[in-house]
Amino acid sequence: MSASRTDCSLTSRVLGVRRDELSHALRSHAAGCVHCTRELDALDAVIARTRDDGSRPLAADRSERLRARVLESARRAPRASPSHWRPIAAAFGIAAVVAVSVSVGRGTREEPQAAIEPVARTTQSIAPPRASMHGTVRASAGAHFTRVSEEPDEIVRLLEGSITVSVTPLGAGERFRVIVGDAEVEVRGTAFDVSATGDHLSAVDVFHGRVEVRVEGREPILLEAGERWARADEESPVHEAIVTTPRTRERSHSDPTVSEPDTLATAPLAPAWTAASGFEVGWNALAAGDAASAATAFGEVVTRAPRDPLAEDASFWRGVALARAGRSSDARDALDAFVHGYPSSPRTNEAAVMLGWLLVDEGEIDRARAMFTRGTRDPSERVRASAERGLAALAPP
Amino acid sequence: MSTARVVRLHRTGNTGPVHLGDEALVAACGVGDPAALGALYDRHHEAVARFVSRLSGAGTDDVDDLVHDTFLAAYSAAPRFRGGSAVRTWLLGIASNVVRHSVRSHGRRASLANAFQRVAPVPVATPDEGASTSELRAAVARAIDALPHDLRAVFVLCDLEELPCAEVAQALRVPEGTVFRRRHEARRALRESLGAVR
Repeated sequence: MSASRTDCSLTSRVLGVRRDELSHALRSHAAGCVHCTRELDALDAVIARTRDDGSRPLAADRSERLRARVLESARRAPRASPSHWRPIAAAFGIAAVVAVSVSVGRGTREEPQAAIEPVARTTQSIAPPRASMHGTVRASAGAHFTRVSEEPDEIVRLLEGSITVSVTPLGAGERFRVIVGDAEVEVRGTAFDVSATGDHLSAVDVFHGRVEVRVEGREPILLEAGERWARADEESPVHEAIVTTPRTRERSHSDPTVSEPDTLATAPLAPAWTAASGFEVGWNALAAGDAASAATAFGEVVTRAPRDPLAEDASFWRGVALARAGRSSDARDALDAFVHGYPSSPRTNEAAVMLGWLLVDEGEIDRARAMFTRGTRDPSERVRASAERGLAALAPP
Repeated sequence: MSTARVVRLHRTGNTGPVHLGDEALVAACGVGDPAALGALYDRHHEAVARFVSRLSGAGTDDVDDLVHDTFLAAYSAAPRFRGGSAVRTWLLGIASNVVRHSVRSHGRRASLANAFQRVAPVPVATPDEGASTSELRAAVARAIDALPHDLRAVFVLCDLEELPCAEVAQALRVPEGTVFRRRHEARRALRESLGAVR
């Protein structure tokens, strides 16, 4: 059955689109149109069929064999430097209040300390050591942490909750660190408290000995007994979290001076406009041959969400849509804006070649030649071929 | 941290259970903790296996190879994970590259139609119904197999794994608009080739 053989002029606009992705106006139309409904149902059926591929969960023995093989290969694989791991941890952004208590024990090396084990917090006895590590970690109920490396560079990653660490004296070249999202605290033969908020270090109090505090993006600080380091209020990660919430981002992209399209302004219960939904409307319109509507939709993305990642694509496709709509002057301006606004885009050369052809039509030969020349460097054979044709067309007879 | 994402890290041995989220497991992988890799495997290997099977059309042995290569690549790439997408999406993005590389370097990809032959039949009510199901699956497999890798990857991630386009874009490292376009082209191609499927 041909997908485009219908008696409804709008059916071509729903091809390849699912119901929940349609604009509100088109969805309203489709609800009462037998042809569009048939097409939407057909796509749903196709997707349902592709999901029903008869696959089954892996058998338990096969899964276990594969697991063992993966782990064996991992043990043999060379590792990257552990120094890469701090910025990774900083990306977690866990909203929690963390308090760490680390105390340095004076035990001997002949009594190796236990491996990490979350237990109820206690300030009294320490459980018998069970593994050849320097540190014994005790955690309060609900604490989330793990030992991520062993000696000589032992690292405990604390995500949430409270832990108490007892560390035996370290030998030459040996280290013991507790790492929070944006900082690390390294043992220097002492006892201290560490506090963190939202996976960011907020305070360190040193009781005796010395502690080195290394906060991402800052010089290390060495604290002596009785000293305290605290993050200033204006640097509070909580404050940072508030200003980067999605709701705030979305609001910052909105321009209240831009009116809603008629189809959305008059439609009841219209879904909120987003850059993605706007781009989808533009793309669907362009795919359906409605270039003018596509140009409007893409332009709306560019105007209302200029910092959204989709703005780059929308800017390019707006130029394409305007050219297809026969609005050459507007297309030239749009493509010119794209070429200069996104000089490093993968589509810049393609846009330059399209702009070149529009400039040829307007008699701007020198600018056209510059655009075509730019296109000859594009990795796409199609773009290069068009650019070469343009240069050949400009060559004197 | 969402408690729904908490897992048991150490399954056996002297150490007690340690509960971590996906991102923390990747961080632990980044500093060379195989136990964290095991926990990641336990949580995501089914999804990875299903994804590489759909994407590559490979048989059991090749699927196992691809899953193995995916987790090993993830273990190596863990230090560079920045949390830009969910860990599962990140893994599927790695798997997509593993499959692409496999296809290019070894020519290992069997056709989905062949893979279909190795899939255990689903219980059916009647022999006729079974034949119909088999024919439909073969047709679907051929149609997906005919898609270029980029379109197939986006279709599988968006429409079969039901991941948001924004996450798919991050996983595949392409602009979001490119994901929209590929998804649209893939759907139209499948709709054309499977127009009579019901």
